[in-house]
Amino acid sequence: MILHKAGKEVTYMRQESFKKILLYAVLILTTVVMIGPFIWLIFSSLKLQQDMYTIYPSLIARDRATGELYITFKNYLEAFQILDFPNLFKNTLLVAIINTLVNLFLNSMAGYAFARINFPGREKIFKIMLISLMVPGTVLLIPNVLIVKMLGIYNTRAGLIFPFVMSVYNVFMMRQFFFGIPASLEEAARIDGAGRFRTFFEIALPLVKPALVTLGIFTFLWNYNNFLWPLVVLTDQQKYTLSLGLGSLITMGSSKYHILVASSVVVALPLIVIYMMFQKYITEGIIAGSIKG
Amino acid sequence: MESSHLAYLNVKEIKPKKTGHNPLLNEKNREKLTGYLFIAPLIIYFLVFQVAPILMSLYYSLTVWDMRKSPVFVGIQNYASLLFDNLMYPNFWPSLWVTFKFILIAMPFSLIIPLLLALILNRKMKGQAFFRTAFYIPVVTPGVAVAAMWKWILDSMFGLVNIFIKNTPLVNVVIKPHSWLGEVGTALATLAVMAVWGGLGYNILIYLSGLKIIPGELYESAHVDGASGFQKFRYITLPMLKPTIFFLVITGFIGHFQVFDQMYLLTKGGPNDSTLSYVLSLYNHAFTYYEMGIACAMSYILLLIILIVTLLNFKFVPQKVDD
Repeated sequence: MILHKAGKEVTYMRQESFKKILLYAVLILTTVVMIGPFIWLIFSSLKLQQDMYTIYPSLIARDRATGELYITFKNYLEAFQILDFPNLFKNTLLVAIINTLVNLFLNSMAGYAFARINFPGREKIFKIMLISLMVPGTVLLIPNVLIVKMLGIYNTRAGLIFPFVMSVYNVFMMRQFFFGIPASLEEAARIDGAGRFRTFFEIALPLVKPALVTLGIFTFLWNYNNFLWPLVVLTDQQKYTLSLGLGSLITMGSSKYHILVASSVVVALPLIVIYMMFQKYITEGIIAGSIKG
Repeated sequence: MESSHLAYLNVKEIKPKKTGHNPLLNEKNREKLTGYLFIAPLIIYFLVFQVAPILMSLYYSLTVWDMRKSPVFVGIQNYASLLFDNLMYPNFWPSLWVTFKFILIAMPFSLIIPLLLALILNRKMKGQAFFRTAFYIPVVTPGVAVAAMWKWILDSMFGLVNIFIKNTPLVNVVIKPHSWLGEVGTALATLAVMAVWGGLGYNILIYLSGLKIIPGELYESAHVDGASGFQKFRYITLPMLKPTIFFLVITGFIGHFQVFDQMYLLTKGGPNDSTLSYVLSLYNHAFTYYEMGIACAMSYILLLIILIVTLLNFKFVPQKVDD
């Protein structure tokens, strides 16, 4: 009886470990599909042009005459000559950082007011704002170009910033986060005579710091990645962002892959590093966002 | 609305008042003022960049306008021409059809594959965090860099995909090398696969958050009743994931419907307009042909389609109780 049971246990365990191996195989295969292309991209960027064009490639560059393995940064030097990367980075970071900071400040102020301050029409205003969430960005694309022209900020960095200087969705998220912290602390401060501004800055805001980090990262990533809006608002190459600069390289049509490949590593790598650093906040942000839906 | 007024009164009654002449009125007004002050930037932003554009494009959608001369009011002519005049606007229906095909190809994969992977990752395996992180990298990578990457990997001569197909026995019998983005038969499907790949990590996270809130007791009692793994999935996991799946369907539909970047960068709508998506067509009308009236009408039709889908969502998706 006991023996029989033990035998059953062994087959069960064998089944389980087989299953485990199978599942890991699936995960590893998926990993190859998901990050394999990036690894290939990076290694391609370290090859000389002539060694990229082969139908028997190796991951690490191999000299086609001697067969020796090597690494070269020549493509990067060339890429920096074709695209003005320092300027592209400057433009991108300028726009992304200003937009992120202003977004955090203004969105959390509005979110706080909707969560904590009582004023007539509060719920009504908030509901009207929420309806606007149903309007997708591309619907506003063309009229916003017209607005930006009317404001005289077409083809300027300000034109990249202003239309996205706030976000109704982020106001909604901030309101949720402020609901999530106990009001008692703020009330205590207010009894002690602190005004709304001070309670907001000194008590409420520090309590939602993780939320600010999460929303800040998302706003930054979105601005860094955005392609369509800069495409329709900027004509002056001097003001191009990284996405736009790289985009123009792709659409120029000349298939100089060694430059394209090195340039896309330059554009993508900083963001992947940032993602790795703040990975936790991004994951949590998405999960919070989807639950609140 | 009424409840907020009541709450407002209640709060005022409970709150201890400081001494001073007529403190009630002062503080009340100050509170109101502060509230409006806090949301003032939002109101201005909302009016300038949300309300004004919507109203403006409604007006311009009823005009003919090339941005040089002043707009000429023509009523609903733009809408009528787009919908019924195939000679003047031959791309309208095809671009809608291309977009729907794109969604139809991408959607099933971007729902099923991430679900399977989320189920695996939900098993508390070693390295779970690593895999989750790895799968999410394509989501945070700039779309333009991803486009450049695929352009290289899908190159018909020296791209890794075709080299892999050519050099791998068995595989080269089943699949032939293609100019993946250059042939009418493969271009749209290739872009759809790229979209599935790009959104996989995000969808996995959404599924994981959905799986996390399924109470463990359900599985325990099913286990006691002798349910098999598949039965548990069929009768517990799947029904409990319904809101998550609906969420992904709706956001996926809205997101895919606005697909632009990859088409603009990699195919320009070609070959033979086979990848001319709706938003790319809209972009062309506005910024290549300078038909602002038509472009605005297309924006409104886009808005209408998305509103219908969103309202269907509200109608059929079980609304969760707000915390």
